[in-house]
Formats: sequence, C-alpha cells, structure tokens
Amino acid sequence: MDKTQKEIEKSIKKLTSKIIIFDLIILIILLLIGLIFNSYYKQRIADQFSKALRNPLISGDNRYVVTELSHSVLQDFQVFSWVKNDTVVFSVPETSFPKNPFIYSKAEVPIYFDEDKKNEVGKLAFYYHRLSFVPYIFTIWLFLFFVSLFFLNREKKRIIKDYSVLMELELNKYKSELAEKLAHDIKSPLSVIESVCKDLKEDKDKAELLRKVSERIISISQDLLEKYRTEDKKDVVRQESIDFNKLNEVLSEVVSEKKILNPRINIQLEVSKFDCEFIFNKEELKRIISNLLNNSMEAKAESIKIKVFDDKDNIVISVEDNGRGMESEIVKKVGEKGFTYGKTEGNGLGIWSAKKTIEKYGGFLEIKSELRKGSIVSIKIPFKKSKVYVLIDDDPLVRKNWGITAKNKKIKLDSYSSFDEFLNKIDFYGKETEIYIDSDLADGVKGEEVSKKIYYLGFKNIYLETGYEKNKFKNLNHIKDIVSKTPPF
Amino acid sequence: MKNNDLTLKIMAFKNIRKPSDFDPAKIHFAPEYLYLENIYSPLVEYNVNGELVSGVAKNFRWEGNQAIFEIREDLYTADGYKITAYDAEKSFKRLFILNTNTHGNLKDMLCPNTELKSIGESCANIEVRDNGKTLVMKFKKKHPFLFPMLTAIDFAVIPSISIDEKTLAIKDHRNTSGPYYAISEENLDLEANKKHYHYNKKMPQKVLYIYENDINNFDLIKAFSEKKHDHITTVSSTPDKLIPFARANKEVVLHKTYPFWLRLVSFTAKGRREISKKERFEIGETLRKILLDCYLKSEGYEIAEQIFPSIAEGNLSSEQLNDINKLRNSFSIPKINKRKMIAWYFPQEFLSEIKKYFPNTQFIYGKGIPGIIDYKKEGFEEPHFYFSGTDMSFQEDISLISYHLSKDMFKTSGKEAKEWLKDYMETDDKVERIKKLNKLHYETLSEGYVFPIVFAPYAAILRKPWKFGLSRYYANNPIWRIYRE
Repeated sequence: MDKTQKEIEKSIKKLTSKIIIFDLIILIILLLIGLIFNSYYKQRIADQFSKALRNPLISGDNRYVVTELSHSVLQDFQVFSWVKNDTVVFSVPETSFPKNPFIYSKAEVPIYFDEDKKNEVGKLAFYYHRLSFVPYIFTIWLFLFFVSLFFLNREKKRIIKDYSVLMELELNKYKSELAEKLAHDIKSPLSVIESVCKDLKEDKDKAELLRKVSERIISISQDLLEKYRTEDKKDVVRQESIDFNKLNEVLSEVVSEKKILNPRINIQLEVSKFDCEFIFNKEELKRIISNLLNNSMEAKAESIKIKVFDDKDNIVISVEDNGRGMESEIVKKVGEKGFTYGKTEGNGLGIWSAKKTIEKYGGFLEIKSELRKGSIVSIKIPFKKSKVYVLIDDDPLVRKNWGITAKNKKIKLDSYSSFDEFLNKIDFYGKETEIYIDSDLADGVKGEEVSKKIYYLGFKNIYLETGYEKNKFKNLNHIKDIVSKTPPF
Repeated sequence: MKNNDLTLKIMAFKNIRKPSDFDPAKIHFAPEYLYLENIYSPLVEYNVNGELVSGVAKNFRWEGNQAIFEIREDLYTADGYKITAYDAEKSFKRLFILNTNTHGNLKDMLCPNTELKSIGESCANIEVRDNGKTLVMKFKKKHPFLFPMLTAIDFAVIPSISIDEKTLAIKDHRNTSGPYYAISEENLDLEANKKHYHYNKKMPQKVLYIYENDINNFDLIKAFSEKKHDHITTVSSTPDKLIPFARANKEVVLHKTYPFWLRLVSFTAKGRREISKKERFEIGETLRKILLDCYLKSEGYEIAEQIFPSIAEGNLSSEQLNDINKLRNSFSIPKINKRKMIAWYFPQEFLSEIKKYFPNTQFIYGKGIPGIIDYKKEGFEEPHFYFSGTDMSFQEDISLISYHLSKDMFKTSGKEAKEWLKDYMETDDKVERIKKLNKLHYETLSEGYVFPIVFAPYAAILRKPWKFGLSRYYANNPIWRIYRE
C-alpha cells in the first residue's frame, strides 16, 4: 500500500507539475499576444487619430489640436507630439518624453502633403505604456488558472479512484492465486489420506474419521478458492439456467452421495414440480446443499428432509433436520463471517460463503432453528427474469426516452447517469447483461474508456451508443457494436 | 463603347456653350464649379478622404504669420508653358481686382486696404521668391482655415499667358493649370493635359460635351439610355431619379455622396424687409409642408430640421432645435396667403400644389443667385423668397460659408454678411468660430429667414466600364477621378 500511496502521490505530483507548466506557458503566451495586440492596437488608433488631426495640423491649427483633440488622444496615449524636420513643434502634455524603451513604446505616423506619400509634412508620435494591457491579461490568466485548479482537483480524485480499483483487482488476484496454491498444495496429501482410508477396512471408525477430515479440508479449500477467485476467473463459473429436472438431478446426486456416506441418516427429497427456471451454477449449488447437509449431520440429525417448492417469485430449497438446533441468539449470528457453532474444527466460512453465493444470484438464505428440535435452512433463489438492459448516459432525455420505450415493450431497463452510479450496482447484473454506454458522458468522461473498464470487469455485451458516425470510433474490439441513440428494443 | 476608347461623353450644361462662359472669379452655380475644377487646379486640394493635400503647391506651411507655398517644378500647360509662383500671384491679384468671387474672401485677409488696379502692380503681402518657386502670403496672424479655403476653385492658378492683362478676361483655355484643357474656344470639349500631376492613363483622355437644343424639355436619363452620353454628373439630376435607374440597369454605375444637399426656402433681403416674422413663418411652414409631402414620396430624401446636417460643425443643439420646433409647431396648419409676392426657382412639378396656397404669388424662374445678382442690371424685380438646393458640407468650410453668406442664405446679408465673415475669419479659436456659426444658424432659423426642407445625397451615374473614384464627402465631380481599367 505504501508503494501504491507513493505511486498515487507521484502521479498527482506529475499532473500538478504539468498543470503548473501549462499555466505558466499560457501566461507567457497571453503576455506575448497582449504585447503584439497592444502594439497593433495602438498603431491602429494612432493612424486613426492622425487622420483626425491631419487637416488641423497641416493647416497650422495647432491650438485646436491641443485644446480640443488632445483629451481624446490622451485616453489611449501618455504623450503625443508633432515633429517636423526632427524638431518637436509641440507635445501634449508638455513634459519630457518617456525614455525607458522597455516600458514605453512609440507609434509613429508620418503625414504627407501629397497622395503619393513622397512629400512629408511631419510625423505624429504617440507614446504609450507597453504593459498597459497586463492587468487585463492577468485577469484572464487568473480565470484560466482557477479553471485549471478545478481540473487538477478532479483529476486527482480520478487518479485516486483508478488506483483504488486497480489495487482491489490486484489484491483479489493475489488472494485468488494464494487460494489456488493452497488448494493445489493440499490436494496431494489429501489424496494420500483418501487412499489410506480405503485400505483401513478393519478400522471403519478411524477410516470414517479420516474421510470426514479430508472432506472438511476439501470444503475449506474450495471455500477459499471461491472466496478469493478474481473477477476474470469467476467468469469460469458458468451461470446456467436450472429447471425442475436439472435441480432434481443435482439434489438427487448430492443426497445419494450423502446416503452412501451416512446410511444411518434418513435423507428424504421432496421436489414439487415447477415450470420456471432460475440462474445458478450447478456445482456451486451442489456444494451449498452438500454443505447444508453436512451441517445437519454435524448437528446429530437423524432425519433430514430436503423440500423444493416455489413461492411465485422464487424457488425455495429448504433443508430441514431434527438435529440439536440452535438458540435464537445463535441463529442471528449464523452467516456472519468467521462465526462457527457446534463444530470443533469449523472455520465459520461455510454458511457465510453459501450466503454470499446465493446473494450473488439475487437470492437469500433464511435460517429457522429451535434448540433440541432441529433447524430449517431455506435457500430462496429468484426465478429467471426477462432480459435486463443497462443504459449509462448522462443525458436525462435519452434515459427518459429509453425508459418509456422499455416500459411500453415491457422490457427491464436500468438507467444510470454515470459509470460510478453503475459501479455501485454492478453486482446485480449477470455478465451477459447488455450494457449501452453513451460515447460522451458528463465531465468529459469518454464512453470508450468506461466500456474498457466494464469489459475488464467481465461484461461482454457492451454497446456504445452515440450521435456520431461509426467510423469516428476505432480500435474498440471489446465493443459488440456502435449504435445510435434510439433504443435498440 | 469600345474597350480602348477613353473618351467620355457628357451632356453640356444648360445655357453654357463656351469655356469663356466660366470664370473662377465668378462662380454662381454648381455646373460652373464642376467645369472649372477640371481645367484649373488650386494651390491646395482635398483628396477623396477629405484630407488636405498638395495641389499646384507641392508643399505648404505656416512660418510664423507667413503662408509658404512651394510650387511644383514639373507642372506645365498643354503647350508646355511652365507654371510658377508668378502665375499664382497674378491669379490672386486678378481675383482681388475683380472682387467678385463667392467662395472665400482672401482679399480682406491679405490686403484689406489696398485697391489693386492691374495685376502688374505689386502687393506687399504677396511675394514670389526663389525665381518663381515659392509664393509667400504675409498675414497679420496665422489663419488656420486659409489652406482649406484655398481649395475652392475660385483660388485656382490661371497661367499668366492665358489672362488678358487689360481686361482680366481669360483669353486662352488651352493653357490651363488643371488636368484638362479646352480643345477649342468654341465648345466645352476637353482633352487631358499629360503634364499634369493628376494625369493617368486610366482617366478619360477626352471629354466630349453633347449639346441639346431644347434643353428645357430634355430627358437626361432617356438620352443616357440611348447612349447619347455616358455620364450624368452630381449636379445634373436628382437622386430620386438616378438611384432607381441605376438599380434597374446593370450597365450603370452609381455614385452617391452623404446626404448634405439641402433643399430650402430662403427669404431675400426684400422678403425679410417687407414681410413680418409671423407671416414669414406662415409662408415658410406652409411651403415646407407642401414640399415635404412632395419630396418624401421620392427615394433618397430625408427631412431637414436645420440648415447643417445633424453631425456637421455648426449644427444646432437639441435645446435650440426644440425652440425652433416649438415655433414651427404653432404654424403647423398650411395657410393660404393672398399677398402679392414674387418667388423664384420653385420646382415646376410642385407648382400647381404650391399655387393653391399662394394664389397671388408670381412664381418665376429667375436668373443668377438672389443676393448676388444685380436685379436691375438683369431686368428682374427682386423676389420675396426663393427655393434652392445647396451643398452644406459636414465640416467647417469657409468657402461654402462665404458662398452662402453672399446669397442671402443666413440671417446676415450684404455688408453685414461681409462684416460677419471678416470677424469670423479673424477668430483663431475654432471652438469660438463654431459657436459663432451656430449662433448665426440658430438666429437664421428662429427669425424665419430660412426654412430647410429636405437633405439628399448628390448622385451621379456612369456607363460601365467607367468607374467612379469620387469622394462621398463632396459634391464635386472631377472628371480625372473617373477611370476605367
């Protein structure tokens, strides 16, 4: 984390330096532009004044020039003078001329007798302050400076957020690798234990004990693996539609296994026919049921009943036992990470992991228990719903338009105004969800960049919705298509 | 028109047949000014942007109270006569002797108490230096409006060889100082003077004047359509006729100035003397209403509230204008006037309407400019009021002010006008001068001497491929500013 912190600080420092350099360059450019513009502007005004002063001057009406026109001239110039044959005829005001060439400049306009400009009458010289424009330039620069500060602040936040996302992904990857390594490493000794068990025919109790221990270790390693599986690897866990037959098959398999291992326990399976399907991973489901049955057996249950029925929206799988049960205070804590009850070697991850997995599919786990009478653990998983569309667009009108169309066509559409908003709900969506992203999100966020992040998070059905031509976008292989702002359904 | 034909055809002006009909010392009407500015050049000129630029003098400047003019050394007449400062000196002396010019009073500024009898006499305040290269005018003080005033064609340089020293008449119109010279003394046709500083190969090399016998019933635009001529000048027609014509004809190029052409009704010295202020307002406002009704139906005209354009120097403040409008409002209903009066120059097309309100007034087309002409000599009875159209300009233009003062257009007239002009020209501070002009303007209107009617732009048309290079600030129509690629 220290390293990350340093990297964040380094990136922010780099960005700050860039912005400071940019601001300084802008200041220099503004000053140069100001200098050039001031010179051009003053020369132009000098030309215009010269036209106005020309006839009175050429007629010798210096008095009129000095008394009537000088006020206008001196609004733009510090001093102006009428020079004939290198001799100053008069100057207004009658002070010494500004001498410092770094501070003052001169716009000179020759006046001619003839239209061919061959015969010079004299020159009008207008002195002006070179830096008179600086306050205006500085005001403009200050405005730009504050804009850049705002930009810097926003970018700082973005860097920190990006680093956080990156770090989380890195950490998950590390945990996944660790869990994989652990699972791999314990597989060999477990296989040895398993083979030894087979040979221990005489001492069935010891063999049974060893078998349970090995099963337990496998379960823990599997939990670890699941828990720290990274997002990309999680994709390997295939979501699938499970119907009545498939569920029956899964449960029968688990029950058969358990019956063989525990022939003394009466395990019954009651599956009511249902027509809908639900989304789950078959192997995960097997593991959860297996885990629940193990728990019942751990609780010294003699009879376990697995019931499957539907409650309109959900499929309900309940594991009902007549084991030792739990007090209500204990029931409340079951499912919390690390909480274990009644097991000498429990790690408190079994129910917690099952709960998390079920929740991932939009379902939940419910525990009812009564001390010395038994427990009922129910899994409720929502039936597969119609296809969900996601729209990420900062334009409320587009969102509204898509919303109305979706409503009319009875299509499930979830709209988000920003990537961050979507990120908060990302877990609710299956990786097959069709996601439509606006090419120009608010605050200059580009849809292409957001789509890359979403793709990296495992979503594959990503579309860029835009008002531009398709050929504006290149190298977007992760995107399925570029579509218009019209709802695609 | 052939592509290489650089001859421009213009209709000749009414009642003007020969070059000798024109004289810079006696300009009363705009067509005279337009012809003379082509054959003569002044010391100083205005360019198209309204800037003072070199004319016959390549340099001009004030040195103390002396105005110095350095004459171009490469200016020759068509026959090769070199124009020098001596020609400029004699031109001014001629002007002082004749004392009839209308656009500025140089004599009173330069030699007020000297009565020259011949151009051979010396005038202490005009001096030629450097063997004719420099002309110096010595004044008691610097006059900032001298150079602008000298742009008027009244102050054109006339080569000495073209002046009859005895009669002071201009005897030769071939040797001129302008970009053109008259090909013959018998007609107005012009040819470009290749030695002139305005000469270029794109300008009309020849200008032929087309004569029409029945000029009163002559349709200038119809003749243009029939290709009898190629150009209608700024003072030959009106914008309400030329603008729609140009819009409807692709072969026509239109030039339009800013709207400073004022149509007005002015009471003469006689009118001011014999008719009371109240009755002048009754007459003036009745005429104003009738004429506004007529003019505003046509394109290009806008109501004139005052004599100067609203953005021009000497215009009225909003308070002054309110005062004038209050006076006008009390005479808002047209009233029939049965007084026996004489009125000049009212447009023929509006006379039937005007006569309904002035049944006993005699409307005639006079001769010359009221206030300037000698009525007895010309055999006319002085009118009570007259209608005219005149250039009001945007900026202080001493030559135009002088012209307007000489023709009974402001409150003052005659000697009083001359005194006012003298005082005005003596005022160095321009702000003070403009205040005086404003006061004169206000009093002229509030006394009911002048009733401004409408402002309009001066408009001119050309046949393509000729193009205009004229200024939008001036009514002038110098032919050398017309060109073709």
